[in-house]
Amino acid sequence: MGIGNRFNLCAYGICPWVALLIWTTKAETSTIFSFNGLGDAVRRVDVRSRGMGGAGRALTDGQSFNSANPALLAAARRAAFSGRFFMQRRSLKDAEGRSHVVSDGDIGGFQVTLPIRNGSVLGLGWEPITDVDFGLSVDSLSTGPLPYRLTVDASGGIQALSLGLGQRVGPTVFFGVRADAVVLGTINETWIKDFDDASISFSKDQIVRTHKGLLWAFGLAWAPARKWAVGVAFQPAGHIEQTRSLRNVFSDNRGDVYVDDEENRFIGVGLFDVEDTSETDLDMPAILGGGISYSSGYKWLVAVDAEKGYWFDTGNDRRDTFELSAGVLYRTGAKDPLVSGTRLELMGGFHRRSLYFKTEGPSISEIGASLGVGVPLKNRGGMFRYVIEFGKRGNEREHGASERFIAQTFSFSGWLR
Amino acid sequence: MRIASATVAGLLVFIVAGVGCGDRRSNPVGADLLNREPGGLAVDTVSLSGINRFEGLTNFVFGHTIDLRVGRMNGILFRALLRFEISPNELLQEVGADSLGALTVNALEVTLNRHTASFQKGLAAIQVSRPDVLWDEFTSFVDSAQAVEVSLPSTLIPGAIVTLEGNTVNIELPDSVFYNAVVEDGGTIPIELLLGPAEADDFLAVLASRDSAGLAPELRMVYSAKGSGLVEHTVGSARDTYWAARDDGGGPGEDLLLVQSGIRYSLFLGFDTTGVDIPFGSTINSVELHLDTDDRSFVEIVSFPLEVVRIDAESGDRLVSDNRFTSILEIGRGMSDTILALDPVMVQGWPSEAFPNNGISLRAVNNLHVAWLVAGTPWLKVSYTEPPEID
Repeated sequence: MGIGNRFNLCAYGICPWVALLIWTTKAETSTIFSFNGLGDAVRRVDVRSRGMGGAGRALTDGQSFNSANPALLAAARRAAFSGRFFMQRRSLKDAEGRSHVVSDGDIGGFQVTLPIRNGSVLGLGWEPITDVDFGLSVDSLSTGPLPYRLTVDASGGIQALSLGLGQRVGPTVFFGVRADAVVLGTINETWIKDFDDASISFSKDQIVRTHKGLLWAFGLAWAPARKWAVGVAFQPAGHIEQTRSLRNVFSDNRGDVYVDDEENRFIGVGLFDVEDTSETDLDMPAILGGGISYSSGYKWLVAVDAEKGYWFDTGNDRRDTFELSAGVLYRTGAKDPLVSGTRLELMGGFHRRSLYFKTEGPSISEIGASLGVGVPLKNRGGMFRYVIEFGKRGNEREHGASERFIAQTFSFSGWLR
Repeated sequence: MRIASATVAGLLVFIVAGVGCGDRRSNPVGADLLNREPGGLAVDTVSLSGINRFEGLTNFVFGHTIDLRVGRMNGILFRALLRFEISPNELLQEVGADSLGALTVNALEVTLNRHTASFQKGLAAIQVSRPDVLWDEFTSFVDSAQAVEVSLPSTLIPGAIVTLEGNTVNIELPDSVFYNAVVEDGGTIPIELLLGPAEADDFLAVLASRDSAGLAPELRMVYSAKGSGLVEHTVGSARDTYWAARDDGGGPGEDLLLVQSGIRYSLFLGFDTTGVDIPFGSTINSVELHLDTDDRSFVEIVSFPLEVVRIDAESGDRLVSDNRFTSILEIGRGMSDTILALDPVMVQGWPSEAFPNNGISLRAVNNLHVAWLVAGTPWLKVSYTEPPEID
């Protein structure tokens, strides 16, 4: 049976829906707390694990696309592909009672697993590592002689092309290593000061940060019994180089258009090629995580994970992070090797994690609960998964703002042959 | 399969609906999360030094303007020419004489009205002469080939007395002016006058020409003949004009902060940026050129458009300017503190290190008139914002 039958996405008219979603949503999704530092660290779990609260570092059933533990790559038995997309609706609030709603979305990454031979599996992927999404517009924060409206927008993040290698030793031991080539993704900031006095022209400063570097991660998974498995992953501390470019409105590209609140249009004149460029080395944290999973055989799957990120060592304005997640997966019907019916996978879980951004008060924490469903595609050639998460980040009195979020994630995965 | 299809379709509908639309307002939440300075606003003043430079002459003709200007301002002479034509037949008929020799001139007087709406600065002595060459209202007093003014020889009229009564300038002429103008068998008796400044002090009298309705210059002659009483004969000017030229000293000294149209003078201003440290990457938000206009300025029309040019480089006497940075600015008549808003781009290049600071020049755009602006103590007010902190 060819790929067209096994991986028949468009049979469900999914493609136009995907196109509609990509068109209607803004291409970032993160947290308001992502402005400072490198952005919010993306949880590198696949959609199945997201539906299970983020737990899954010990899921050795060969259906995992988790980058959180490189060893899981070695469990893959067939060549497979996975892509995912995020959407999020956030309700923001601050201590003064101001509120705002943000809807955004972003592509979550692509991965391919390719079993080679003798238990070796190659993994290729493109994934976000951090995500930045911040927008603010307030009247002048200073009390200078010329009041102005400050608008700050930040978006982007650090992304990597990943290359992984997993090795299965016997049926129960899995090793893995992954190299993340940080060559993609920029973090863009725009600061606009719009003066109340019409005779004073506005200022628009852009800071563009690009990154390059190489980060490593190692993993180990062990399934001593058919139903139990344990996994551990370690990412050593590393460095990446960040190049920062500062451009003001006079060095904007010719023709770029900016529209202020009064609908006045300003066009970049592109007069100057001069921009202020500097480089700096950024420290990336060491991350240690682990998990345990239990499978009843067919119907039930339970997983619990924990992870610590050593962000404090990377900068004075950061805190170590800790995440605890747990979840369960339930398959409907009975085991069906003849593919005579549809079997759905239902997922649920919760998590609690802290963010590395330093605040005057306690650490910013995020709690969330998730529900999900997996729908096999025609002839079980692949799987469509959908997960919805509800949660909250921060406290407006302690951290200056809080977020309540509804995040939706869906993915398509399938066998390539 | 139907269940799967329905599930997926339903989920997709829910996804799209669940995304919803965000708040279209700007987000006001998160000000406390900014841990970097956005960049302060600063205002600096920059002192200016300047010189003027002669740029050339415009081949103007003022024969049909409503003004006749007489005076000297900033090294520029203003002189007026008038011609009155008296009909000898009319003179003879009025007194019943049969020859001009039988007439006795008792008074010969020219009356000119001031344009009170125009700029005036005192009224020093006006010198009255007779032009020694032919002229008309289309005469240009500029040798465009040589780019120099054409001198007009004249002979001083001794005994001419100029007085001012209210808004009227009276010129009493000796009767010899009349007798010397009589030409045998001539159709008219032409009386021509050249008015110019008699003293070195600056003054400017703006008088009405014959093109000013109701205010035209007049020649009044009181005469008599044997056996007749005194008769008064009045004629208006048949033609009049004026012109401007640099005085014998070569015009205004270069230290005078002057920008002038017609006889073109540009003002070059250099910036003393000592003590002014605009950080690299700053945005110049506004630039104001304060000229503290001197009362020696004269703008005859409603506006005096200026072209402000950034000096790109200077090689010898040759000037290279970049027209991308020009601003057309206008100042109103009678302004005592002229403030010109310059294009911030003109100054932006300095902190951006895109081009060196060679100063700017101010030039008049409309050179069909002679008008000028004298700056007292020019200075620059620069408002700029520093870039935000990167880390």
